[in-house]
Amino acid sequence: MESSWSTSITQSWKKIAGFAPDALQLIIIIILGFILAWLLKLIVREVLKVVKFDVFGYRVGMTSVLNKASITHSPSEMIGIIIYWCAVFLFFLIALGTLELYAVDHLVTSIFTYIPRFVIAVFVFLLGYFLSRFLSRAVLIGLVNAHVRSAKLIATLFQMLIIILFSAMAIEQLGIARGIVVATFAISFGGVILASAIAFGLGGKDMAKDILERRFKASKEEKSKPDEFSHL
Amino acid sequence: MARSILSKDVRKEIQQIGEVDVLVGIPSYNSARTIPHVVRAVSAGLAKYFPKHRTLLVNSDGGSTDGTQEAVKETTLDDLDILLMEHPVYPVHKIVTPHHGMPGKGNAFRTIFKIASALNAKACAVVDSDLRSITPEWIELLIEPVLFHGYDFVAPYYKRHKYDGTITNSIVYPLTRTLYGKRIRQPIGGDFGFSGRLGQHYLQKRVYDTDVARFGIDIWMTTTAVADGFKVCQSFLGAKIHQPKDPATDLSEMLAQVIGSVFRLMEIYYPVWSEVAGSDAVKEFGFKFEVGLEPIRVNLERMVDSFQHGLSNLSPIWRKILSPDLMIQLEEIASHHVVEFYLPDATWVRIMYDFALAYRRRAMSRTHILKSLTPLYLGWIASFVNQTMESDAGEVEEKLEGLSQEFEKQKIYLLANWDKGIKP
Repeated sequence: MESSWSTSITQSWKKIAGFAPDALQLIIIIILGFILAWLLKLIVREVLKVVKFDVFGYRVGMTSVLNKASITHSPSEMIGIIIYWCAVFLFFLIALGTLELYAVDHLVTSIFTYIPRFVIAVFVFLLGYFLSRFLSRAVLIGLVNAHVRSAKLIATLFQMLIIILFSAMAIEQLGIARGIVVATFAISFGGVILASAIAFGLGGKDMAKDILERRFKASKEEKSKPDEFSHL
Repeated sequence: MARSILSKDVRKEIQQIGEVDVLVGIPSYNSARTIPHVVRAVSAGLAKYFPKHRTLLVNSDGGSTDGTQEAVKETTLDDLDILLMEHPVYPVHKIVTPHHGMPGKGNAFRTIFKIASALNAKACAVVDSDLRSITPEWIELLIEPVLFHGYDFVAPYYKRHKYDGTITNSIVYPLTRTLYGKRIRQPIGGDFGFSGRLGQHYLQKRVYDTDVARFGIDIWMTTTAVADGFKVCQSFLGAKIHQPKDPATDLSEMLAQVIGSVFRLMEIYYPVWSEVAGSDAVKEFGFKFEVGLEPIRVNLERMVDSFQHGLSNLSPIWRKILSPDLMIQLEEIASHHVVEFYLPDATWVRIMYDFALAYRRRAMSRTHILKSLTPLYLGWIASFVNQTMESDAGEVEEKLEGLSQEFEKQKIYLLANWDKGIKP
């Protein structure tokens, strides 16, 4: 009886002793991960500051988006933080890999193959978001200066179109329900185009009438005559 | 080593000519219809007023396809040296020049400065190629202050309709005067006289590949001359009438180009203008006389509508540029009907200073800042027209003097906020 107890304890101890190096390795990799991630964050942040990424972020509206979300970090700091946690996560996965457990190995491999696609998807989405803000503002100013009545509506539709387009690209990259995404995008995009066409048709009815009247009725010309003075 | 901007043939011609006393440059682009008159006036002016001087006319053409250079050759007087050449034009798909459709005006001027320097010219002038009102006296008035009175820069002073040159009157003139302290009435006139010394100074500047040279060469020449301490004056040239501009010219593009150049120069010359207080009149040459100007049509209703339309659509953008109290004022102004529409001078000056500050701190894309100014500018013109409808030219000039003084009064606000909110 005593012998079976001692055998179990010995066996357990052997198992623990066998696992200890792996656990130590895991802990070392995680600690190393935190240190390297911190260094990476520091380097990325400084490089972004040197290339004046914050100025760029300010211009494209990144800073105002962060402010709206009550985030007080600058864009370069924010990217540094994201990179820090991504690196920590990666090292955590690497550390788990050292345990050589089938389920963990399989999970790590799947995550590693998925990470590039995830990063690209996030990048595509963010690019689309900032591009849509910049372009819709340009469209709005241009249309207001051209005296287009529905300037705000057109600029908003334009922004939505760009966001839809880039979101579809991002989701496609993630590989989530590809067929549905493509179909949804095609329907939404087509719907927006059709809605815009109808809106243009209805909104532009008077304009078209006015153009035709001006073309054929000289008497109507007086009101729309341009100024004659030189601005310079 | 950088390639010379002058071709081998031109360099050879320069070598043959040796030296000149007076050089007149005419930058051109598709001006075959108008340039003969300009060349005749310049030639007659040189022959009449500088008969004992060695003179040269340089036509720097931007690749005209309508036979501009041939037109120049055919109209030249026999006893005048003439140099015909083409200046490089930037390969830009669409250029809306703030003037009269001539691409690469900065390059044309650079070419003229280079030739003037190579020929050791004592006095130079540049005149637009589409002028209809130029007379031989213009050449005398632009050259004489340099040649005989020791001035380095001669700005033009035209007699214009009270509503003509609104960007100049409401922004460029009062702002330039306030910033640099010299009352140059037409800082973007386009026709200037300058000394060989100043020409060489211009040549040394590295602006020829920038937007300032592309779209704001006139204000750059004036500002550089004043800010770098050259002796400046202005000559009264009479009426300025040029070929009607293309009606398709985009006002917001033109406004953005001119004001963008002024704002860019403000950044460059901050150390100079931050030390300037008040303004001084500059010496004037020429005999001032009244000129009969044809009445012009102004569509007041459309301008007020542009302002109101701008306010209802661009408010979120303007809120990032203008201070909150100004936005409240604009809401109040927009509520008035066309006949009662009034935008006070003090408000307009604050608008301009807030735009300059937003441009400086890059509150958003600089192009967006500049282009969003158009409805406000149209609102200002509408208010100005409303106030001066019954006024004669003298009264309008007094009104503009009041506006300029308001710009000077509020300069302290500009200075106090210049470095505020500058992002890293």
